[in-house]
Amino acid sequence: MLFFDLFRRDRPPLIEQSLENMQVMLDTSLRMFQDATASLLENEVLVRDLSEQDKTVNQKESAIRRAVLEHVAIDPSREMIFSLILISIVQDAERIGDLAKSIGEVAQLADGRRHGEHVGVLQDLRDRLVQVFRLTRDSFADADDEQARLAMERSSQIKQELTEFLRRVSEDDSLSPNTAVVLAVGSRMFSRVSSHLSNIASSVAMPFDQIRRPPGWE
Amino acid sequence: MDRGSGVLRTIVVVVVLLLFFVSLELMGGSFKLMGKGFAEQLLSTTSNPFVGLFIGILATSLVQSSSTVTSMVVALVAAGGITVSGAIPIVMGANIGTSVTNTIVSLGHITRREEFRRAIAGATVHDFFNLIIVAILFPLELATRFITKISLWLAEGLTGVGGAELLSPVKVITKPVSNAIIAGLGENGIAVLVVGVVLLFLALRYLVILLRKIMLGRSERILHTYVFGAPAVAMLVGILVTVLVQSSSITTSVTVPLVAAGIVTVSQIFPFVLGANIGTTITALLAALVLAADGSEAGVLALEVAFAHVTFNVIGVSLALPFRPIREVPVQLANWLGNLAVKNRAYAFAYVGFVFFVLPLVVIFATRGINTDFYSAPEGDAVESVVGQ
Repeated sequence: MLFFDLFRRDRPPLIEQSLENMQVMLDTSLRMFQDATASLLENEVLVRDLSEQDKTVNQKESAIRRAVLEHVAIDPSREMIFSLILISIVQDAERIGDLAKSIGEVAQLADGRRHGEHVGVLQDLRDRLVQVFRLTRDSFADADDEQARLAMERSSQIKQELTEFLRRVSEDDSLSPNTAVVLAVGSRMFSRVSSHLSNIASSVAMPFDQIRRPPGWE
Repeated sequence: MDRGSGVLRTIVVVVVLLLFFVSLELMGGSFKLMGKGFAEQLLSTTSNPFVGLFIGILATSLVQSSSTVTSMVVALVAAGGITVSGAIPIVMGANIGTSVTNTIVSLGHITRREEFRRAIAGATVHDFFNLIIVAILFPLELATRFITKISLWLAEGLTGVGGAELLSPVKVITKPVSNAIIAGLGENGIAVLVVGVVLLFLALRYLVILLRKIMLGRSERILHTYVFGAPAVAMLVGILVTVLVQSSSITTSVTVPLVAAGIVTVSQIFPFVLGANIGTTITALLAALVLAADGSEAGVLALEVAFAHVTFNVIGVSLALPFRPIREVPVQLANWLGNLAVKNRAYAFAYVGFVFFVLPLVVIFATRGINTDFYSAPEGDAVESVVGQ
């Protein structure tokens, strides 16, 4: 690192590019999640091809891995920690894309329209999860640890409520087997999405060796 | 590393070390060649201990190596260019100035808020410790000269048991080389000084690079196991690793990314940083041992300065390490600066600029020519007998 680099507040180009790709991954995954959950919970027809969008997410993951490796090979002294963080959490962003695609596939399994009390609960949790998506994306882009902590706390709360939701679905004898399976599998995927978002936020809010762990300040 | 390349690297280290000793003799020789007038000018400049202190801070901040500055000071004392009393404040200043390197390293984390906060705190704990210790020991030294007395006792003790001749075989090799260079430069004092300074910079730079490659990799496991354990052990490892790589900046800069990533806390790295403070004194001690190898009175004075550097740091560490509340003061101050820097990153740059560059410059220029008679040279701390010999 040269002395004058200290007065630069911009990132090395490959790291900047990787950060942009990470944001594209999260934005694309959010769109996929919204489309897939609209299909699952509001019975909407999927207009966009989730598989094609998932390919974009996967390509961005590869691009980030390549760019970070190239950056570290060229200029390891700059943004070393952030480079390691990117490599640690890029898989989480990629998994969110996979899960959103899977939620769309679960919606296709349903043999009837989804409505009622359970669907209403999931809709509320979905809306809150979308907020966590945005919090996570912004906190990661701005390296804002306060927003990241908020994202992790909300994610943790949503996961607890999803566990409770799953218990109630399992105890509801009025549900058909198909509806119960669709709601149960869908809610588990919501929980997984929430965990991956929390992992990404943890890279901002938590020490490097605590990334992917639950909130450590509780 | 195979045996062949290991032997080769060891030979290169020895050659670079010899060049370092030659550079010291060249500098000493140049001061003698430049005569009494030059020495008097230097003496007048460093007779004010405050100016000496800030010269030490500024010079070390500029060259980013306390080893270079303290070795030069030791060479100057051996050549009679400055007195021991004038040298000790410069050495204290060098202690503060050396911590600028890892503070500058920490500024590289500026793009990530939390990372930046931790990095600034991790780097400046060294600064704050050195500033506090100087704030305590500098006035005490002015009032009582206790560091001078302890170091004189150590230097005389070592000389008394023949320790000063420890490196006299080195002198057999380096003296003819330095004499040949001085003769080759037509005994021109300024030319010899320039060659000496350039050689000193190059020798120390390559010594650190070589030792870092050889030693730091091998110390990886030691660092991982002991650095963040019990404070006393971490401090001893800090001394050991710094002695091995001959640079406190290298060892303390290693800790900055670890703190920045949140893997360790500022409190955890602090004892290791304290060890680095002691470890870095070995370079000037080596330099003084070579300069004192001929048993001359000036050589013993050089040894006294090197011991003053050791004494100052050992006392500083002894005050801080055993007592957690005292240890926590620089840690709290560093965390406070880290929090401040996150609110406005300009504070971090302002801190570095003010403490290491602006303040020393202002003090040096504002107090130029002001002599202090309360810190006069003691008996035996004379230079006239040496200059011009």
